[in-house]
Amino acid sequence: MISNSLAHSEVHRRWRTVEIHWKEWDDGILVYNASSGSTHVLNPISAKILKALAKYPANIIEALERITQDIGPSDGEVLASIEKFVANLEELGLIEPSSE
Amino acid sequence: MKISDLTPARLRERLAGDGLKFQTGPFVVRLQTSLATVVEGLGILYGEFPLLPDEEFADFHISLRLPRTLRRWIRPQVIYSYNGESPFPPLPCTQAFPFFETGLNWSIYSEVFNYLIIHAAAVERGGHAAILPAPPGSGKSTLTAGLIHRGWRLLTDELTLVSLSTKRVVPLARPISLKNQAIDIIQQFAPSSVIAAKCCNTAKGTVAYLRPPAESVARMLEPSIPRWLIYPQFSSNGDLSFSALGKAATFSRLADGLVNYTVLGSAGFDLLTSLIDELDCYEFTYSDLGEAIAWFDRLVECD
Repeated sequence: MISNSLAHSEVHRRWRTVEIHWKEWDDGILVYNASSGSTHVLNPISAKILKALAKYPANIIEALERITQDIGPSDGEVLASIEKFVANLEELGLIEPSSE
Repeated sequence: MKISDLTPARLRERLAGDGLKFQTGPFVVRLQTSLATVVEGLGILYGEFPLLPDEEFADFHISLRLPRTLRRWIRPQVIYSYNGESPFPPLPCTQAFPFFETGLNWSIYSEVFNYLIIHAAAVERGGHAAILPAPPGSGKSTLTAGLIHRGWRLLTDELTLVSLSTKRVVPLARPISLKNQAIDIIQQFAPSSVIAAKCCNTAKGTVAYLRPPAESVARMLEPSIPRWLIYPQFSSNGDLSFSALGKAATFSRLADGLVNYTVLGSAGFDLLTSLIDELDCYEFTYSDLGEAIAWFDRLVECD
């Protein structure tokens, strides 16, 4: 159902992370983008998406599946917004389209 | 040999000639000037600093001089030169000594990349350092000045250097910049303290520099283990209060005061995050200097 709300081309586009350094603390997750030299504090959902994509490149549906395995299906309302989170991660330069 | 070993005439002569080389923390400064206020300030505030021989390599070549224009005589100005360049517009000649101090800060954070530099004061007790980052007007320098008169060692008032290789805080131990009411507060709190002449109408109001304690200068090559990171805030009315800060919140808040973090790349990120991992971080509000120092002392006792 979630995939129905996403544009067809967006669903199939695969994403990968750029080179990043992580730091997780109780009150926030930091990532350092080695390409741009910028540091970001991520919200938990963005961090989970980024981690999902860090394992290996994935499209939004595949990333969603990985996150769902982790946090469970009860977060469906939040997960429906995944496209916005992915767009934000791309805007921050933390992910990029992958040909894999 | 120390700067205070020179007679006033010899100090003036050396500064006006090829320059005086002295050590401040890990750096060697070569200073040339014939401006009386700078000569006098150096004599009062840097007396305990080691004087180095002429052949010693200098990290920073600095000169303060009058311009070769009418501004030499009419409302005279001073030019700060660093390694032959003049990175700042001239300032009124009356501000020559503060210009030297702020200019040297700028030269350090523009050129030094083997340390993470945090815009913060730092003091040490029992081998452990408390780092005090705070925006101007927060009471950071006043608190630092109070602490160093009650048993804490001065590491720095403005630029905290954290070694990329050892993760230790490396001292600079330069004079403390007191502003406006803080000058009288410290004079009353520590009557034996040595404060150089006031300089009025600077960008920060009236400024006067406090001489660093001899012991802090003598131990300026002795690094400390970072232990606490405390954001001080002076409040004229209110009780002393403090609260623990989260690590990510500390990082975000510290970002504004990181002088060369972006230049250091991933090494800076890795150092800073592992540094914050090992620090206890607090927000701290005080209205009474004595109470504030007692709170700092309890930190050490409870450690």
